[in-house]
Amino acid sequence: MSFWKKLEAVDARIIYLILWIAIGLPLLTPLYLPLSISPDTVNYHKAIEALPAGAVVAFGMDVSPAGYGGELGPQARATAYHLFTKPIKIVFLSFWETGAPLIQDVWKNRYVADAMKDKKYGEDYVNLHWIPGTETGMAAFAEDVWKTVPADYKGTKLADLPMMAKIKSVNDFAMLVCIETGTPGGPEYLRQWQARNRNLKMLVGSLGVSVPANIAYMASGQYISILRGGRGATEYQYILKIVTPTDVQGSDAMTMSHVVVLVFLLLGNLGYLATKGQKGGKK
Amino acid sequence: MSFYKRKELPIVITAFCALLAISAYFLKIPEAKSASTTVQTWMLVMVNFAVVVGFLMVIRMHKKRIDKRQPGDKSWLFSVWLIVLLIAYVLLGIYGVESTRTAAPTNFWTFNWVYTNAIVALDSAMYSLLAFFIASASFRAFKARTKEAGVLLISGAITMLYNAPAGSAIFGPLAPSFNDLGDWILNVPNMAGFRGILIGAAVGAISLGIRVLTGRERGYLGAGE
Amino acid sequence: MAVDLATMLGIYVYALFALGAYSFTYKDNSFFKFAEHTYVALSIAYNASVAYGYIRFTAVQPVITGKDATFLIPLVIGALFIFFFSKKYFWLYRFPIAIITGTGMGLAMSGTISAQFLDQVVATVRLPLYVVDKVLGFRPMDTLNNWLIFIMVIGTLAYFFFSITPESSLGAVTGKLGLIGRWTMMVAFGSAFGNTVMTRMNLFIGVYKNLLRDYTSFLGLAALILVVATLEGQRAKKSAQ
Repeated sequence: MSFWKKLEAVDARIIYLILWIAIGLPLLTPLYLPLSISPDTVNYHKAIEALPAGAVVAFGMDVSPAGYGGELGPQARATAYHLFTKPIKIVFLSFWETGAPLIQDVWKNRYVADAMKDKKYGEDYVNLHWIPGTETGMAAFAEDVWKTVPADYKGTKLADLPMMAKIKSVNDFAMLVCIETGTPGGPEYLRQWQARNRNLKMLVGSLGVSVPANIAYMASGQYISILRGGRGATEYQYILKIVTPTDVQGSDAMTMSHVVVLVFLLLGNLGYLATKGQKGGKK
Repeated sequence: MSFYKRKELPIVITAFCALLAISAYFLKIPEAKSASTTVQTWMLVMVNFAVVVGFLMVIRMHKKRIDKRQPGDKSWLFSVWLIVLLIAYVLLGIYGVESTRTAAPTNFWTFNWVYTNAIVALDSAMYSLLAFFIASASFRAFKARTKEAGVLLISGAITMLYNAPAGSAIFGPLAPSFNDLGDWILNVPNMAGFRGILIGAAVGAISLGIRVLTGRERGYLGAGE
Repeated sequence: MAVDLATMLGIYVYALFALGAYSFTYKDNSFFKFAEHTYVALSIAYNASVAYGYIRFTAVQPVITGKDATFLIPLVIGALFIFFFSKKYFWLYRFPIAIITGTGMGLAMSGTISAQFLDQVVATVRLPLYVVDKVLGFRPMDTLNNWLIFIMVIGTLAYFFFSITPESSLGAVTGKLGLIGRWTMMVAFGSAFGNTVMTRMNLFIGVYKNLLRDYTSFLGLAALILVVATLEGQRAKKSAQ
């Protein structure tokens, strides 16, 4: 059997083991590979910087546990940190039942907790927890916040939360930051929130897999900007100067994983081209 | 069959609810808006009952597996584990809701502990299994057999080099070109392709909506007359 | 001390379930089946628990306290879902489905027309096909890019709307446009593939980082699972022979 045919017949578990080792090495010792910052991340940062004092921002934590553990957790923590450093009001909410408990996990991050020190719950930020109904829930919330959400995550009535007195519908929000895994997410917010409040600015932190579709919404001006998956999260952390060694290790590991996949693609296609002639040109 | 048992009445209800939502959206009639918001708020309560159907279906399915067990086959034990865990965690959740007097069961420490250490681990691991299969498929399956496949692979490879944060470090003087090329692919052909797909999907969604409104699409009502 | 124990136990439980799930890449084994069944059970139970909490405090509480008795209506209609399991009264199940589908469909259609259709079409039509910057003057690359986007969007739409090429002179035009659309989508899907690799790898890296919190749990459980899976595989081979 030729070298290429032997290579093609290699056990898949060897490939999996190579992946474990290639990703594990940078997680054990960071390589500190350089990182360039994309214009989209800069624009995301600028949009939050430009928020006027007293602006009300909705923070949609529409994530699954898997998405949060991978790319969206760093995005959410960096965004929450940035928002808490501004003199604005934040309404945390989620249309994913799995995303709602992760709002408190974001608050536990040391940078976010530090930025929250001078903020008062009920006056500067609230957590409205989970709202069911996906897109219908978004529409109901957009029309009448108080009718849709009777209480916050601890059961406190909205009447007992001072900042909610002036927040009755989507028209009272200046910006929506949506950290999304999938549906419901950005497009659903566009259809139900931005369609009702054309002045609502939208920033979206998305998984890498959603970036190609989100670029179209960004190009049309419906989103101001997006964070592009794990890379966008790391870039944002660099801008905010809150990047940790663990984040650097993750970034290096992401590079190694891409290099491994590219090498496999190259080897696989070289093997195909080499054996194509031996098969008599058959596809 | 009596009229109220046939599909026509639910179709009329579907159409009425849809038209109420559409009229509230476009016509800005305060009464329609109020009625629509009320129906939407009620809907948020109704959709939660659908979980009960899924819950009972899973129990029914695994009970069948337990009933059909063969001697020597131990896989039915996993079905027993599933049913026991399902009921136990729901009871823990209900206890959490009642003891904390809040709608969120994760306010109860034990329930949240299981969520953080078991559900998050399982969800993340199950979805990330695809990483292995992508690596394996890159080697075995993603071959440039046609010109179109070749273009797809090249576009994918450039995007991966653009996304890998240290693509610029690896390629040295060529790095800005890769960044620019990756940027161009994302903002021009990718954006154009997905914009076309979005517009096409929007037209498809609207036509499906009209089909449902006019009763031509009845699959959502289940089998039978 | 209790908190430390809970954290340590949490790390071991996390490692058990994550490695149990990954063991499928080695071979199908009991640990994977255990992880899989646990995942199904906990996911459904979690959803049921949050649903209970929402119904209890949003609908049942106002009815019991008399604050808003109208919530009795969605409670009664929602309860009709249970007739999904009845052959005789299955028709009752259709009422909540009809309300949910109708309302959801109406809202989605309304929003789709503006957000997904009009805004995207307007953005395409409004692309300047001759880009001039006030300071830098004529911008050839931006102009070329806008022309490309314009043609590619039309090409992609032609590919979908004229998937059966009409037998006329128009057919030649739509056919060519459809070809442009197809190549555009190949590049777009390649970009989607590249971004999908990033997402999936980041999902795995996230779990890997958590596994490395404690080497004992990671390596110990990994070794245990590998041994058990290998023994099970050998036993299955022997019984097959």
